[in-house]
Amino acid sequence: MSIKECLTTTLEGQGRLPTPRYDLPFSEARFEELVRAWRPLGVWLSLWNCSGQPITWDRQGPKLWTALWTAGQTFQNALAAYARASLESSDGEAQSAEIGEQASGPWQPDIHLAFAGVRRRTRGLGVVVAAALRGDGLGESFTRLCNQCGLDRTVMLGLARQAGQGIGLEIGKLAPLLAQAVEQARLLDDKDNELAVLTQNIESTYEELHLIYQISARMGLPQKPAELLERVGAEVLPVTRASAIAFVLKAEEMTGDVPAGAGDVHELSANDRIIEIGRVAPSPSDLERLVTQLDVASVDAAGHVLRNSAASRPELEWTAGWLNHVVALPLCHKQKLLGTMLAINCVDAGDFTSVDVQLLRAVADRIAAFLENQRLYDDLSDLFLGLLRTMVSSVDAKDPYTYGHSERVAYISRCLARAAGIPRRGCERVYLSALLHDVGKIGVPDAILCKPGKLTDEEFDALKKHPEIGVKILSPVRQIRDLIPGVRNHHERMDGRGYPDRLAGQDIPLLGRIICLADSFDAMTTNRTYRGALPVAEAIAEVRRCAGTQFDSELAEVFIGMDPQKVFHDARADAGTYLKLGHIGALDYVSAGQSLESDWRRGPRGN
Amino acid sequence: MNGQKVLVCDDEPHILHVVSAKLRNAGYEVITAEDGAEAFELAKAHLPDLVFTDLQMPLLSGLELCAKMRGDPATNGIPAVMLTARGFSLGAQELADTNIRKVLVKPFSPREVLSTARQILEAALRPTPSDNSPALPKHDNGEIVN
Repeated sequence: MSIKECLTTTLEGQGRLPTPRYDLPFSEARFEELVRAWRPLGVWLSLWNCSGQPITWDRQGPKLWTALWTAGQTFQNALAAYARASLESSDGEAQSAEIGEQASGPWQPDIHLAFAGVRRRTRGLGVVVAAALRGDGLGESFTRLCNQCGLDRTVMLGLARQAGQGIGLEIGKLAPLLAQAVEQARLLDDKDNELAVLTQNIESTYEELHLIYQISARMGLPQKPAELLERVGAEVLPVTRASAIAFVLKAEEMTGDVPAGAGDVHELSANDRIIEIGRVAPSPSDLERLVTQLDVASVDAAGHVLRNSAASRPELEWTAGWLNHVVALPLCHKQKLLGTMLAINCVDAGDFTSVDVQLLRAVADRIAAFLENQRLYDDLSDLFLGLLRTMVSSVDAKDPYTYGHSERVAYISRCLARAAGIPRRGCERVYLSALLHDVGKIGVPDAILCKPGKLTDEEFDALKKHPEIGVKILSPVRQIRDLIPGVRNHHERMDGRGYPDRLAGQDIPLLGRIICLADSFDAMTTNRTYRGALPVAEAIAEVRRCAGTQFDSELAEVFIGMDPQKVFHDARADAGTYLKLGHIGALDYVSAGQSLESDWRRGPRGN
Repeated sequence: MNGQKVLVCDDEPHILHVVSAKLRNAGYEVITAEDGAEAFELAKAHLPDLVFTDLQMPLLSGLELCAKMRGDPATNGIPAVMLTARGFSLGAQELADTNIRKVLVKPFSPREVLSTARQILEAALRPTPSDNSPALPKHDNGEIVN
């Protein structure tokens, strides 16, 4: 392998930073430059490694030297002996290249040699040997050399004349100059190598930075982790050398859409927890087993687990067929393990290196931060929703007859809002507002709330205070002010004969109009202290009859058109099942300060 | 390799090194320039197949360079890729008045630099049946791609 081959192989090795080889004196190109500079002076150069073996020499120089070099080993052996001697004589502590002049030799005084050691710091890398003819009258020693090499003296004298002489006598004076030139050449080579390493370093840093920018832009809250990871994985995959990227999230740290009755611990489905992007696609259970086995939680110093050539490890034998190399990185935020990121197999023949790990590390850190933020966001929305439910439950606790009423009205209101074409996040606002619509009943005496039979006028007036009481209860919480119109105005009537504000028609907030309808429908179809439940068909007839006077006719039409029988049943079956509002961003919408009406008219219907 | 030539121009040496090393390692012949004026001289002298240029440079900006190249009959067919700082965008008119095929935003991905170069240069090697001019990909229509 030539110097050039050595260098290019190491420099272009896939996926790793180049490690230039410093055991060669310098590159062939650099030596060529030296040779070209010294040839006009009549100085012929050869390059030797630190074992005294020839590496290269001036092949285009005067024919005299080529003839000597190629005529058997005599000339070469003599130079080799000289090179070795110069290497041995050089002082290991010396900082600069050394130069020596052959004082006495077999061809003295006709051919004179000089050397310049090539060193890098304290290490000898080789030696440059310079040869020159001394004087114009070549004599006895030259004849002896020609004889030893089996060359014709006359021909050689001719070649010697062509080679030019003249400064041969001065080689001792040129020696320091040669030493300096050799040192400069080696330094230049060093700089070239350093530049190549730095350039490749910058290149991988740029790649990393670019990737981080790309994925950071995708990490807005809130969104479902699985969806984000799939998008991020698809962007990371082509930048890394991995055949596949996988994420295995820890079940206990993640939350999914949870049915209300499911309790605190809910197993997230494998689809939401194990995400694979790429060409390997092992089964989710295999991935989980691998993650358990690699156990990134136990890594400390390295921060990752790297297993190249997995098949050759007994503990990973079971992965034969799909796993060659794997890097596992913990998705860790403030010492809490949220999951594991895996890079599986290399697209090229190589294995994973520190460069790959560095890039994956940067991605994993960003993802961990996102996961933790999303988890906090979900926690916040759970807390929020939990507190709302607590308030609602305390109303329900006062009056067993209305038990579940708030949940059902919330469910029916959301169905109606969706059917009316309000965008999804607006529907969640309707849901939350409806959930709270009767919260003011906490302030109504139990005697009135639970009284069997008809209320007196005074009692009814007291009951009619509940929307305003509800507003008072809720208004201190800034984040839910946008829910208040539904609480305040769910007893208004289209004809203006409702309460408490006696608003009419479109002056009644949309939230109020929707909840009013859902509230009345649920009240009609439920047993009350003062009457039994109406069949759904009769309740619908009532909705139709009161459209335009009590109810918004457009909404009434939507309601009748959406299979109220099914809504009636589903409300009883599904009320209380709620989405993780954090994932869909409903909480943002609750306090968005945006009117539901404008969103309804502008938003895409049926979204 | 087919010996296609790429001229890379940037006044920041590290960018120059990264871009040219990436292209050189992929087998392209690379010429470098450190300002727009030098790049224009080199473009005329060497007629590269593609120019990568920084936008903000002394003497002649990347945009002026591209406009000058477009205006010179010797260089008006040479496609260019612009490297810009984050947050800087080029107008549709500026793109329409030049041969800028793509805008890469710093810190760009060296991988993307190479894939962009390949895309443009490979298209240039496929002659269209109707005339002999290189079949270049459709103009990006002012779209800033990063």
